[in-house]
Amino acid sequence: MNPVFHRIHPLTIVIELPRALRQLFVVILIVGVQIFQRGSTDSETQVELYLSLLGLAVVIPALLRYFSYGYAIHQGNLLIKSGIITKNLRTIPLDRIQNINFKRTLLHRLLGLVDVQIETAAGGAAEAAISALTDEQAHVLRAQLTGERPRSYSPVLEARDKKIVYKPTIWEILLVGASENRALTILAAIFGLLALPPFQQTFFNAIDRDTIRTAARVPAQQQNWMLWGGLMLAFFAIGWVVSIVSTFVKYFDFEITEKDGKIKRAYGLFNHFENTVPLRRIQTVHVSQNFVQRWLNISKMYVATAGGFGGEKRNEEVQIQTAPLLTPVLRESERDRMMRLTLPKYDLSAPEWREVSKSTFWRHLRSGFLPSVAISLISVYWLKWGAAGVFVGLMALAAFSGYIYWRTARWAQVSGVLATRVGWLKRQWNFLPGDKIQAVTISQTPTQRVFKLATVTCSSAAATFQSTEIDDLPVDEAVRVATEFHEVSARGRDSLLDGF
Amino acid sequence: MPGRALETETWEMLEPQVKTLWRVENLISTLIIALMVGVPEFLITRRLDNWRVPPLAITGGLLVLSLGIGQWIVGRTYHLYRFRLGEDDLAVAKGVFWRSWRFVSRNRIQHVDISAGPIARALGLVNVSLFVGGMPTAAVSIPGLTEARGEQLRATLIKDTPKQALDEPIAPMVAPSDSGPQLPDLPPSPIAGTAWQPPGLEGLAEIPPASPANDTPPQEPR
Repeated sequence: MNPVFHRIHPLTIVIELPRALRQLFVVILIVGVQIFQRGSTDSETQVELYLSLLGLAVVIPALLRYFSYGYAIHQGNLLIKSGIITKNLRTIPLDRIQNINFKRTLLHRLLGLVDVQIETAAGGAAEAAISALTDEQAHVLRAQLTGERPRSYSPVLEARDKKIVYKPTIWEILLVGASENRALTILAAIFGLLALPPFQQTFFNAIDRDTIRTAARVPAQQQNWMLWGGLMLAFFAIGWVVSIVSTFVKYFDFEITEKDGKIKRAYGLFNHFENTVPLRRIQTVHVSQNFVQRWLNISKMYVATAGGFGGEKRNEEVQIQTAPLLTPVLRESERDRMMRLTLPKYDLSAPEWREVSKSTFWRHLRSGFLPSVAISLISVYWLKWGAAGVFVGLMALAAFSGYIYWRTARWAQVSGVLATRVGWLKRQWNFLPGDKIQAVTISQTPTQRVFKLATVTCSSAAATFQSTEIDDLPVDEAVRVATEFHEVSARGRDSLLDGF
Repeated sequence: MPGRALETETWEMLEPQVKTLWRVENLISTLIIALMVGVPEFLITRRLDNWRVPPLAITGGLLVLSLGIGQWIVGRTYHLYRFRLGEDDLAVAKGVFWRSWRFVSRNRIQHVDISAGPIARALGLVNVSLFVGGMPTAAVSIPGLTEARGEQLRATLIKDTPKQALDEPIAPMVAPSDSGPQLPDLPPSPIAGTAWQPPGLEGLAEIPPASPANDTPPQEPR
């Protein structure tokens, strides 16, 4: 029996338009300039010609893609064929699918369409991106891929069946936005924008002509620090507002639902995103909390699978969130429940946190010694005796980091899970179940050898947060921990085979 | 098992010829570096009037340093590079200054590579690399084995891998293989003629059903 290939939705052409326009940005710019420069009446036909050529350049690739693309489910495999000149047929065994994402931009939502992304363990990017299907086609496809009994999709039934396991309030989402600052991101964005050809010229001309000349004329006394301080403050205030607004827009109506051992996250005000992950595919759970969030009693939770988790599409310009965020905001009181949900086989309620070796302080000091000597020797050239101060400062920094590491780093072995906690201003927890471990490594730097310390690294198949490591354990302890987790991993069956 | 501390004296060593391989490799890479640094140095310093250092001094220094350290470290590396094939795992210890001991369970192995460069081939050596899930590069690699030992190692590492996985029940697959999907078809595409076969793909489309648990690539006859 030959597979029956299905086509994507014809309106995909409309969805491809903005992308095609973005790709042809430079061409459009040139054509636009040409049209403006001519300006006279006799060029009207020419303008029309340009525009129609442009239209063809945009529409033809989309049409070709529409006519060449097809997908089918055949004998337990998902088949995807594409290409006109170079034909390509991709076969994905259904039991190797790691997670499935639904993505809707505003345009998708207006047209009632969905982009379906299917990920396997092969890498960070989506292995199959079926763009675009109708809501119903997408839901039936997902049901077939995940082994549910496929029925025709109805939003009403879907709403009745769903079991919400976590849903932060709008207030909490605003709060998490407020606990972060995007000032640096904005800075990067501004510089990125300035690097674009049309802006570049104007920007550097402006700098040449005016800014530098003005700055040179202003006496040094007037460039006072209050101005700069105010600017910085304003900048951070803007970063703060942007962070709040973007978090709100992005995670609006966030909810996690659970069904048949699969969790589904759905969120977004304009661009809607839906992601389905089988619980058994979860390799590592990661929780992070900065100092503001610690004070507010909230944290962020990530779960990593061997596939990406809404990673970017390969060969396409569209890039979306790559961090495997499970929930942007998690109330402290809910954390235990979410840990039980994501790692159901393990009891993580009362981990017995242990410290790393006290020698880690001396190890940090010793590790910092040679670099400090080198830097202060170089600075002798400018600072003469001041270099001694540089040396003392650097050593103090090393001592401080050693003390902080010893105070904050904790690890625990709890029901076969390796748990670690590190970080001072930003605290991060990692939970790696023993049967998800792929390899165990003990390593020693020359300095660690002096103090009889070692690092234990447990690697999983997760695409992000791949390894969980404990720095500076006493060697005996390191060997014991490594042995125990290695035994767990040798006993268990490869969890990469656990499917939907 | 990692137990018994990190004593690797009893573990298996590489073939001594691997030292020759590493020495030759060090020589070649040193020469390449010398060329890459030496040519620009010669061209630049020739034009500098107040350059009082003897010609090609930097290159010479680098050459001596790279050769000296490189050739000295070969012996240490050889002495410390050990591996041990256990009941259900493989352990590899290596490193002179930064040392590491890595343990890989046999049931985690995705595939095993045997490779040999021209120099290694001349010496009759092969390199065995082990890959596990989630690591794009080899989790563990053992250079400097005789061809026979490499082959034997690969055979033992791969032999039992799928058996254990097959013994345990696997989550049921969506479509039981040959009976064809009993699932109702997707709703028809809005454009007529959905059962459409591309002209060039007839042969390609007949794909054997996925075998559920056989993760190991078929062993190629050598």
